[in-house]
Amino acid sequence: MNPRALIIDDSRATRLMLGRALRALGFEILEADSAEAGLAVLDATEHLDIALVDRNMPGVGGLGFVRGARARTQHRDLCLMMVSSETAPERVMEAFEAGLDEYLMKPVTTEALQAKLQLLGFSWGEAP
Amino acid sequence: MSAPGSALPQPGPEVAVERLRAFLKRQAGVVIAPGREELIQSRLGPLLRERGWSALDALVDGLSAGDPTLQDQVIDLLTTHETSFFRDPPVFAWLRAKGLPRLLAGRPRHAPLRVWSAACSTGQEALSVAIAVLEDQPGQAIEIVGTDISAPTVQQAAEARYSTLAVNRGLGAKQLLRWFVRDGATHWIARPELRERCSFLQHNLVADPKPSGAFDLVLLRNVLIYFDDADRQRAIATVASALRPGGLLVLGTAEGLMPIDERLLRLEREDNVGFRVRQ
Repeated sequence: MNPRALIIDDSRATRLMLGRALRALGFEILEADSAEAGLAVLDATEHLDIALVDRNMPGVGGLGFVRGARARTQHRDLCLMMVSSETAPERVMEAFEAGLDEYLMKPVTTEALQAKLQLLGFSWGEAP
Repeated sequence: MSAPGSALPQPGPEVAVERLRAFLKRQAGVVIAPGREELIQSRLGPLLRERGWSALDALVDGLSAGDPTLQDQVIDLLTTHETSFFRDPPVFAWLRAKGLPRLLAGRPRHAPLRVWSAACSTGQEALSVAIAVLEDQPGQAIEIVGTDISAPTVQQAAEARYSTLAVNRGLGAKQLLRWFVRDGATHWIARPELRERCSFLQHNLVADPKPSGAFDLVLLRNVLIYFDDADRQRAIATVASALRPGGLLVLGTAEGLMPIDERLLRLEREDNVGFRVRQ
């Protein structure tokens, strides 16, 4: 079964870019354009392997999504990775304290995305 | 054969390519495989334009005249610098689980583990080893020597300053914050506790004697594939002589099945990257 990823970003272009890269690695993709919509997807979905979430979005934002996801015990094995252009160390640590597993600083490249997924224990056969 | 009275034929671009090939082989031991000539044009194009040269001949003449800056630039452009933090994660996982614990067993914390990162490129491998040792064995003394054929690359390694793009490849974000400080919005510099354990030197693996002192661990990864048989043997003999008895050599994942110096013992590992010096 293909691993399933949820991409949460208010930028359609970013969702497209991440979706394309993840599909090439064999992921099945779900999308949401806000943290609130992302949490609704969690509630409506039985199994997800990873959520990639932007930090700065209107509403509760990326941190709100991370806290909400961690409070949902049916998704306790879900990997959470923030994808953001925010690189200030205290901001990054704050996201880890909210329950994040990994943080990918923009700009995102395919190599970086693959390297981070590998750190999280995802693997695939030959490089696509 | 040219007709009497006509101008001598000009040497074609293939002559310049052959001279350049010979230069790179002589100076760096690097062989440009047949069919990869377009690599020369694409990598040297910007340098030709910068110097105002229309053809490769002028550049090759400059090299023959012994212009040291030009020689450094050409070697830098024509050698491969591909690297990343914790490159080939399974190799590092094996090093941390088996290789390093064996080397560190019974060693007092203050007795430095000496490591040679051969053909270190911009230094990520040297820093990765330093991070691995210090994370697994805090307080362990360690001395890492990184060497590379390219002077500008050695300079970059010594600065230990990397773009976010480079640190994203192989470092976890928590690891990044632990071992690096941010330099502006887009770069990161290794903390002094890493930098002071690493030194970097320009070194030619097929021509220079080994760096001074004996090493417990040598990483010579993804280098031998660029050498011909004779230079490969020379480089392996140099690293074998640099290792202390019981020391460990780690090759690239595509290099483990190459003929190896008889002083080295193949370690049991599926991809054959690890070798131990006979006691």
